[in-house]
Amino acid sequence: MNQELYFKKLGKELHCAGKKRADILEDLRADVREAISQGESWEQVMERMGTPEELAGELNENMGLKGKGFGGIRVWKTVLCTAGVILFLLILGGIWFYRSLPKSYEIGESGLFDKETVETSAQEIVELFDSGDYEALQEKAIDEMKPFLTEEELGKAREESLGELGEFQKFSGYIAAEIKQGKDTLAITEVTALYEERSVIYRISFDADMKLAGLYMR
Amino acid sequence: MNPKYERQLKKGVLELLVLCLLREEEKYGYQLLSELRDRGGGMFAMKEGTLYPILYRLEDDGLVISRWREPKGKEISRKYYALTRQGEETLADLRELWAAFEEQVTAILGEESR
Repeated sequence: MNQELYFKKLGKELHCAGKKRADILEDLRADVREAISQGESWEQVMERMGTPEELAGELNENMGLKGKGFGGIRVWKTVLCTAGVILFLLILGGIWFYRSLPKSYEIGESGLFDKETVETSAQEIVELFDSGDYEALQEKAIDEMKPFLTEEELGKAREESLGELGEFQKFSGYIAAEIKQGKDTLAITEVTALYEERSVIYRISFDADMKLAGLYMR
Repeated sequence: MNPKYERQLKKGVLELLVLCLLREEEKYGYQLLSELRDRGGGMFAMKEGTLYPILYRLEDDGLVISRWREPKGKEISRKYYALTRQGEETLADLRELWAAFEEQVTAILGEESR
């Protein structure tokens, strides 16, 4: 085995890294240079020092260096650090996810909505829808909704999903809640309207300015 | 005899011997190995795997200091180890300890052989 290979193997077997390992190898190389300059042959030096595995074993043992497995303090530090960072990111992600989830509260809790106004407004929407006053609906809606609040769109929706209703009888059910998602708070209501032929549930939502922000029916 | 006992017995004085050899002048690794082998009558012939860890420990503890000396002329570059002030103090303490140690051990061994 030549010197290069010997030191390469030795370096691999040492249970330390970086400057410490470089220092040890440098010391030993100097030692070999010295021995050879004083007349020893490389073979004699190698005979004296033992195989790279033996020499590394002695060095590791005498310097209290543990194996590369799970025993080394270094390894444990790395593992703990990594686990800590992962845990931190998980918590951060969890918080972010939780905040981005819609959360519902009782209507009126945020102070943004008045319980009665929301109910009246929702019923008003249903009445406007029934009477086909789409212009008035658009007036009450946020800009994004306006293109859908036309005779064409809503007429189609009514026909396809509701069918023949007959005359409006009365409002027979009402529920409402506040939904907070991120920065936006919405009031969401479900108004049940009874007609001659069947009843329809309208899900109507308003934004904080009491503008119509959503309209579904089934 | 199990060589383990011999090794154990010698192990305790290796630091003392290395400090003692360095007290004379700064020395490089190979020189220390040769001196330990020759002056100890072969009893303290040490391998690199034993000497260097001792030197690193002493250096970590501030008892010795090392430096690479640039080669002059045909010399090769060598790393020299020298005793620090703290090293000299520790050596003095260890010498005293050794004297007391030897005395006591000899006394006990003497009683036994009688």
